[in-house]
Amino acid sequence: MFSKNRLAVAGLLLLIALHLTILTVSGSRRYYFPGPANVITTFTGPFQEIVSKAIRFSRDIWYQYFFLVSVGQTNERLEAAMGECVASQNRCVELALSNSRLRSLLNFRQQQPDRLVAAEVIGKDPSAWYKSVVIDKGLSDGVSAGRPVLMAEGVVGMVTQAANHYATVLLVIDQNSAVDALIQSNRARGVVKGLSADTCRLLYVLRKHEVMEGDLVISSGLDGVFPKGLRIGSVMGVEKTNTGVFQAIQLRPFVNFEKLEEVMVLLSADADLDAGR
Amino acid sequence: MAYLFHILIGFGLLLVQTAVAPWMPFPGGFYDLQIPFLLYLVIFRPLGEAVFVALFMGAVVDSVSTTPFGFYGLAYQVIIAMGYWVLGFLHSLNRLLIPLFVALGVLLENLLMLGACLLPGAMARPPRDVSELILFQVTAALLTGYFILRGCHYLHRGWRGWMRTLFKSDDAGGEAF
Repeated sequence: MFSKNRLAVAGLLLLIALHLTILTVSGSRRYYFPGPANVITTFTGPFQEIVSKAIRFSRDIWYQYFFLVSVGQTNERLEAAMGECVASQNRCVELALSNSRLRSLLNFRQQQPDRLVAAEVIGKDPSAWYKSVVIDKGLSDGVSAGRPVLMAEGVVGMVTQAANHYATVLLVIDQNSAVDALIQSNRARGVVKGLSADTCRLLYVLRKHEVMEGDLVISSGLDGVFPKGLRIGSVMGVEKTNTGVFQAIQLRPFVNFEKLEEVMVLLSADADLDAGR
Repeated sequence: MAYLFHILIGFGLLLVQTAVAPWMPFPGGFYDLQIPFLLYLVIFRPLGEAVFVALFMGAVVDSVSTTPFGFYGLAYQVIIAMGYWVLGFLHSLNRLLIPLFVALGVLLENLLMLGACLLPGAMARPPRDVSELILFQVTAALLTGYFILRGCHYLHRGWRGWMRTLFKSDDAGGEAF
């Protein structure tokens, strides 16, 4: 009745319609499909890990044995920086002690220290449109969706999906990420959203606030994901139009996302490590 | 056996894209390497094999990506449909047309991605530098697409030879180009 070719074309059209339906449902983020995604991430993760580690190993051989020309100069620079860091750390210790004394005086609830788990980046999003990475820690290490991901330099992103041993992290430079933030100098509030490969924008900052280039932007803690006071980036440009309530602010994140290799996931103090085991 | 080979190639390309390409100095990211492979299947293999790979690799790539689930499945099926339509229209492809064919596939995937952001209720937003991203990807596909497609062909030929030696049987293969 129907030729084989016509049946194949009809089947293809049916599959396209089916995928379009799935896409419409999942695109609205009302529904997730974590089951199959976790299974496939568990399967692909080890291979990504092997390839990443092999590349890193080859690169380390090059940099640690053959590329040592400027090590002497770097060492001097680092020693000078270390001296400054020690002095700075002493000041911080003093401040922490006085802060602790003042808190106990004011009967503040003693905050539970959060725990950090170090993770290696083993893969990147296959789509250039989305900025996310895969890390080698998952539910079995206490990492779950919604946990903040950091580096010493600042905020990296948030865990969006976690499998048993691997997790996906949405970076702050992704256009779909949002972090509630403060400008450190004047405490003006806004929302940091991704813009492109290495810049973000700070939205909803009222025109009345004076924002200068170089101002530090930190997390406000009001989004319920990132604790207050984490460094996000510095202001690289401010634009105030004649009309409108808000000003347009561009940020340069402190983290170099092109060279992201190791990150730290902030676990809640009461995260039960045994839950995933 | 041909299906196993396709899965291995698709999986290998995904590893290159997610674990190797990030170490290369590509601005923003490289294009989807599954596209030249799918177009290789369109040109040299039966429709059933191409649809199977599109379904399987679509589900895999959807799972490791932050894109809304189902996007890659849809994009790969549409690229196959476009591939067959163009092939029926042109009848044959030469060395000059193959890079254009791959670039067209890459452009189509990016346009679908843009369309996915415009679907009713969609929460994903396109990046600010989307035009530069598409331009880079299409140019990269024009320059390298032919070699990846040809690489798939050579690998498949090698696989067929290996299978023939192992099982003393012919694992129906593609034509030379």
